[in-house]
Amino acid sequence: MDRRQFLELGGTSALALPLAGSIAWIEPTDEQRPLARPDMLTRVGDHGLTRRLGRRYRRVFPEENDTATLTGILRRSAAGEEGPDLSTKLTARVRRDFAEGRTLNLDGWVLARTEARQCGLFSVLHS
Amino acid sequence: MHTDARTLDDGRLIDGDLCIVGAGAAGISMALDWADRSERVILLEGGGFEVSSEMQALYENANSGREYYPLESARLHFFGGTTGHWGGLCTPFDPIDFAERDWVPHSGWPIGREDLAPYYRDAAGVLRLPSPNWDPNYWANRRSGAPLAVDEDRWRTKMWQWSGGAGPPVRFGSDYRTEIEQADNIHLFTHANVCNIVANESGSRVEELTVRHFNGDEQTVRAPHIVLACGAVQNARLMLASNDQVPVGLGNEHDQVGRHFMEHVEIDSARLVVPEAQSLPFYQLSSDDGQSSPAWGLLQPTRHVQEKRKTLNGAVRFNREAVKSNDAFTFDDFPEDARKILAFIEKSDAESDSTGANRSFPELTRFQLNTRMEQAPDPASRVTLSEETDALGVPRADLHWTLSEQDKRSIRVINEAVGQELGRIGLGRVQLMRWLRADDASWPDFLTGGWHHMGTLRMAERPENGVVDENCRVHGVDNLYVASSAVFSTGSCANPTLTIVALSLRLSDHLKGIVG
Repeated sequence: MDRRQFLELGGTSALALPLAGSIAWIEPTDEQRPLARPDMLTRVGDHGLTRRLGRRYRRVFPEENDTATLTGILRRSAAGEEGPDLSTKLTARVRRDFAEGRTLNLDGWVLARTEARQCGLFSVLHS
Repeated sequence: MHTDARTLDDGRLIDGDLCIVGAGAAGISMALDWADRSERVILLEGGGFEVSSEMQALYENANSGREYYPLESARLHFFGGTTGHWGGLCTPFDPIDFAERDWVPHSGWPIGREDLAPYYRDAAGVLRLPSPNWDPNYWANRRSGAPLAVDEDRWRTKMWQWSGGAGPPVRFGSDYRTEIEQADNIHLFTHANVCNIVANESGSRVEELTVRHFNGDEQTVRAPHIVLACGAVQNARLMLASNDQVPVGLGNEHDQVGRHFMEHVEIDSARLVVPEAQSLPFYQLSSDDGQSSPAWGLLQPTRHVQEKRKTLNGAVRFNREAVKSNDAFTFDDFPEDARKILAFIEKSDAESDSTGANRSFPELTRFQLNTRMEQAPDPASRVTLSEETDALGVPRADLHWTLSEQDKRSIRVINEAVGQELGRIGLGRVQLMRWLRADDASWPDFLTGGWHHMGTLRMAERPENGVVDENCRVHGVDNLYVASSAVFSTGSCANPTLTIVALSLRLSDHLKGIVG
């Protein structure tokens, strides 16, 4: 771990402590669960990263800053993909976003637009 | 044969059919190519067979541009030149490097990659590369791992090889000294510093060279064909300082000598995070035991991507995170004493293991992405003469190195594109480093270069745009040629030595056609 990562993680931890008691954890519905779970990001990071990126996404795209809007867009995004379940369809959509250049940069992370929205929804549900 | 020029009488005349100034990778490659011919070749080396402080001090310079490595230690002034402390990485330039690109100002060479192809093969032999084959599929069968399954329209795996394979790289001084000394038609003079190129009145032909010693003694060298084979800074310095006949410097009527100095930007740029620990052996430089494989891949955007996104030519390497990529030799802490660097290199040579392939590589969840890239040629990035002179009375070089907004933007765009591709194949996610997220022209203090000096006497079709023509002949000077990275019109992301040797062998062929 280099100095910058240490500070980054240390800073997050320090920030998380006073906020810990104030995080509103809304139990997602069965449908919302995969919609709010960006598969790769949750495997390479933790809930804190997903929430942080989600908050950032909603600041950059305030027109999508609510559960209904994000849920609706994600549901439509998944509808065009093939797969046995919603999670698989969303993963396919994320890869297609990368292939077709629908990406964005949040805090330096190069993300598919769909997974960034998933972060956004996660952060709304777990604000 | 060899003569220490300090033993020669003052005023002595040395003559031959061809004179090569500088015995580094370029000069020695050329001289070897003339071995056992009937022509008498004069090879002049300013230093001796060992590095000395006195000779290194001749390279001290003023610096009016960006912070840069001290030239008296980044370059070696002795027989073998800077191959005495080079790392040994080799790869050819890409076809796009030679092309005129409308999104890269001052790009385009008057020759193409195909003109160098046969010479790259020969240069691979001189540098004792494991193979002249650069196809990643060839290497997939000969070392650990395989190339990533990237979209071939957008990405390629560009291979680098180590000179000397898994053992120490070719060090021209020690590896080729005997061959040079034993060649009947090659006369090597050490401690023969050329301080002046004397031209005819119009500056259209070199008449003779002046070799000067610390005690003031001089010798004169005459040959019908002269090749400057020093580094990019010293070649430009010598031409600018040779101003008796042409006040602005020999070959400098169009104010091109010294301009377009280039380096390779080498910098940590992003990190790749993958969900489960794994190795990427085809792309990892160091194996578990700290050794290197004879060949190594970097991810490079294709011409299509470079053109579409208007980037410079760069490639991305995958390092173990938190390991500095250049052994701590940043501009800040680069030793001024060349012998300290040599000691480091000698230790590294001794520890290298020539057994080579099929090593195991560390499994990681985080990889440091490091970008190595050409810089956009900039006429304001240049070498001029300082007011101060060295111990031989030659004005010192003043290096004014610049980097541009396009350089930084290209690194950002390339790394974003890497993030997209690695996301597409599901390998992991990429996060750009903080310094790269800022949309400005600032650079962090861990910026490093490759110690690669390029440009200053660039190749161009017309003298208004460069110093040498497609045959490396100085525009407007009949018998003066340059064998050096000084002639590079653009810098590529490739380490320069292989191309320096290839260009030198091509020039050698051209001169054989003239002399023969």
